[in-house]
Amino acid sequence: MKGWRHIYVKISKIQGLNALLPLAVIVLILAIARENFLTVDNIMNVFRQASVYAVMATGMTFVLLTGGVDLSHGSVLAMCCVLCAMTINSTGSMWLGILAAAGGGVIVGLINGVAVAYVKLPPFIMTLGSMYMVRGFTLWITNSTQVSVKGMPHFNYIGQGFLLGIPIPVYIFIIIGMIASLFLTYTATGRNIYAVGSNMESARLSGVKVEKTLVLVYTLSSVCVSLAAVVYLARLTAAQPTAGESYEMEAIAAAVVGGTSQAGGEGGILGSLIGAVLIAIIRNGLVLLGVGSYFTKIVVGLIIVLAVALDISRRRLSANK
Amino acid sequence: MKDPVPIVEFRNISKAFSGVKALDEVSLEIQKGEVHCLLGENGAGKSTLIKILTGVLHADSGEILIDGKEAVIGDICQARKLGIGTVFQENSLIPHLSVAENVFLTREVRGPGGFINYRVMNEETVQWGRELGVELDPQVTVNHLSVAEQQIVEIVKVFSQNPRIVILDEPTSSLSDHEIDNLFQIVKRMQDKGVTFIYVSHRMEEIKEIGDGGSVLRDGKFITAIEDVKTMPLDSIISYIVGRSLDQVYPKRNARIGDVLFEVQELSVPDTIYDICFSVHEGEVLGFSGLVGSGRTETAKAVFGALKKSSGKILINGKKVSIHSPHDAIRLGIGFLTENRKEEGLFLNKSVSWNAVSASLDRIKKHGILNFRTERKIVSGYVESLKIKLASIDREVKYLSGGNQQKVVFAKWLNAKSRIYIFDEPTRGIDVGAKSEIYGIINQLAENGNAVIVISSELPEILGVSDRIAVFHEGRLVKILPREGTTQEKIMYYAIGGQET
Repeated sequence: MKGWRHIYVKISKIQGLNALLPLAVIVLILAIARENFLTVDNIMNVFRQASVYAVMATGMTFVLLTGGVDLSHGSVLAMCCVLCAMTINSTGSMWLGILAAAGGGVIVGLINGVAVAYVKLPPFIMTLGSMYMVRGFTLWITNSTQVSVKGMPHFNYIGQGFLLGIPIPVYIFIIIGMIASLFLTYTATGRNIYAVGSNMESARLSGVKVEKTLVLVYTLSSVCVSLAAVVYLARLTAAQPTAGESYEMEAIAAAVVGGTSQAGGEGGILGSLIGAVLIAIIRNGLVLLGVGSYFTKIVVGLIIVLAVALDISRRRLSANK
Repeated sequence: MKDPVPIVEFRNISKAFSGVKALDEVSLEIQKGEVHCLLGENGAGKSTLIKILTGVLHADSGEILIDGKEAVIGDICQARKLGIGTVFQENSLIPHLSVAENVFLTREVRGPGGFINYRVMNEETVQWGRELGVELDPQVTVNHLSVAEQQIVEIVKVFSQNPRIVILDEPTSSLSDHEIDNLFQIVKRMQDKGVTFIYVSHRMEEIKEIGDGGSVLRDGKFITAIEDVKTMPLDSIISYIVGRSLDQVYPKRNARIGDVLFEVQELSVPDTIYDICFSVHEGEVLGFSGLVGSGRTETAKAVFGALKKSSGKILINGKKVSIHSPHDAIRLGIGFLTENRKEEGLFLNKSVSWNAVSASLDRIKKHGILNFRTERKIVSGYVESLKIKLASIDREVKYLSGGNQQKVVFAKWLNAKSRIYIFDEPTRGIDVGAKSEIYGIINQLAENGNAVIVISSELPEILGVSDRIAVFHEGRLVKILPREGTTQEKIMYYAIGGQET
C-alpha cells in the first residue's frame, strides 16, 4: 500500500496532470465520434490555433506564480501587432518590426511591473488600467483602422509556414515554453518567482529582491504577448487595433486549467501549454461535432471549473496522505 | 464551600495529530465558580484541551462531563449552547464593524421587517459593559480601538451571551500592567456573578493573583491538580510544569569568547527605536530581553535591513558595512530567524529542501544552473545533523511539527553560511524536547566562533542561553547585564522602566 501511495504522490506532482486527464478523455471521445478529428491536418490545425494562446499563457503563468494577474494581454497583443505592422510597412524590415513589437511589450511590462512593485498598486487594478490605456493608444495611433502587411512572404512564413510538416507557430510556442520552463526550474531567479508568490514576506527576509522580481515578471509577461503578436500578425497579415479582446482571459484559463494556482507559488509552464492545447481541442472538436459557438463557451467554462475542482480535491487527498 | 459535582470534568481525553500524542489520557476537574489555571509549557497540550472543550477539535477518545452529565460538543455553537464562551488569544472581532455590531454579531437585534435595530443594540451593549464596570462607546468601529480595548469588547461580547464557563487563553500577552489590572477586575466581577473561568497564561505573577485551583499538563499528560495556586510556592509550581531542573534544559556551553565580530552604533528607526548600541563577540550569545513591543524585534529587523533605519552604523569585524535590504544583510553573513516562522520564515506549501536552500541558492548553483543533486545532498546533511524528523525532504513543510519546522529555518540560515545569527523567539510554539535540541544548536553555533543574538520573552530562556543580556524598554536599550549574578527580577526591573540606582 505504501508503495502505491508513494507512486501516487510522485505522479500527482507532475505539472499539468489535471489538464492531461480531461485532455485524454476528450481526445478519445472525439476520435471515436469524428473520424476527421484524428487526422494529421486537423491536429496540426489545432496546435496552430493553440499557439498564440499558449505563448500568452506562458507569460501569464509568470505573473500568476507571483500571485498577480495581467489583464493587459489582449490590448498589448493588438498594440504589438500594430507596432510590428507599421514598422514593417515603413522600413520594409521584418526584423525591425519584430523588434518594435518586443519593445512595445517591454515598455508596457516595465510600467506594469514598476507600478505593482514600487507603487504597490494591486496587480488587478494596474493591469486593468493599462488594458484600457494600451487599447486607447492603439486605436489612436491607427485611427482605428487596420494595418495590413503586404508583400512580406518571409514574415508570413512565421505564421503560415510549415517545417517538416509541422506549422512554424507550433515550434515557436514549444521553444518559448521550454525556455520559460527551464528558466523557472533551473535558475535562482526562477525559483525566486515561486518564492515571491508562495510567501512574499518570507521571500523578502530570505534575501529575494521582491520588487525586482515583480518587475521582471510583468515584463516577461508582456514580452511573451509581443511574441504571440508577431505570430498572430504573420498568420492574419493584417493588424486590427481591436484584436485580442478578452484574450487575457484565454491565457488565464489555459494556465489555471494547467494547474497554476491563482494564489501564486504553484504551477508551471508545462501545465499552461497543455491547458492552451486542451482548450483549442475542445473548440475544434465542438466545431467538428457541429455544435454552436454558444455551447462551446459553456463547455470551456465548465472545463475551467472542473479542472480546478479536480486540482483542489487532488491536493486535499495528498494532504491526508 | 466546594460543590460536589465539578462544572467540567475531562475523563481520559486523548488526542493525536498525525501519530504524535498531544493529549494522553488526560483527566481533570474544574470546580464551579473558580478561576482554574491551566498550566504548562508551550506544547504541553493546553490549547488542544481547550479546543476540544470548545468543539474546535474532537477528542480521539475519552469524555467530557458538564455538571456531571456527559456532553457532546461537536462545534463552537454547541459549546456556546452549553454556556462555554472563549476569549481568543488573537482577537476574533471584525475590525470594520462597530463595537455593538461585534457584540451582537450573528445575534443581531431585529425590529419589524427584519431590519437591525441599532438603537436597542447600542443601549444593550452599554449596559453589558456597565455590568462589568466598563464604559463602552457602542458606535465606534473596532479598528479604532487599542488592542486592550478590543480585548475588553471581546470579553463583553462573550459575557453578553450569558456564559457559565469562560476560557481566557493568554489574555494578557499584549496588555500593559494597568490594562491587566483592569482585566482582572472584570474577571472578578464576572466571578461574583457565578461565572467559572479557565485561565491559560505563562505569567506566574498573574496566576498567583487571579487563580484559585489549577491543573498542570506536561507533554500531553496530566501531571497534578493544584488545590490553591495562591498558597503553593512558585518553585514547586514551576518544577511541576518543567519537570526537570534548568541545567538539564539548557546545556552547558564551552565557547571561547573572542574579538568583537558585530557592532551596532546609535541605530534609530523613527518612532520605534532610539540610539541602540551594542556589540557581539565571536563565540558569544547576547540575549535581547524586554516586554513585547519594547523594540527588540524592531532592532533586529533594522539591523537586517527589513526596517528602514534613519541613522546608525553597523560594523562587522570592525569594518563599516551598509545594509539596505535583507539581501545585503545575508550577503554579509547575517541570518535572521523571525518570530513568526509561518508568516515570515517559511514557504509552507513548498518542500523541506526548497525551504532549506531558499536563502542560499548561490550555494547549489553551478554556472547559473541549480543543481538538484547538490541540493538534496546538502539538505539531507542538515536533516541528519539537526535531527529533523520527516518522511521525505520533498514533503511540504506545512505538514511538519512546530519544532521540526523551526529546525528547517535553522538549516536555512546555517546553509547561508551566516556568521552572525539573530534568533527571534527561537523556541516559540515548540515542545520541550525540541527546545533543548535548539539550545544545543545555538551553543554549537557559538562554539564555532559565530556571534549569536537571541531574542526571547521567556526570562529563564534568556538567562539560560545568554552570556550577556541587553534589556530593552520603550524603544531603548536601557541596560546590558552580565549573566553572572543576574536574576529574572533584575531583568524585569529594567524591562519595566526601572532606573539605575
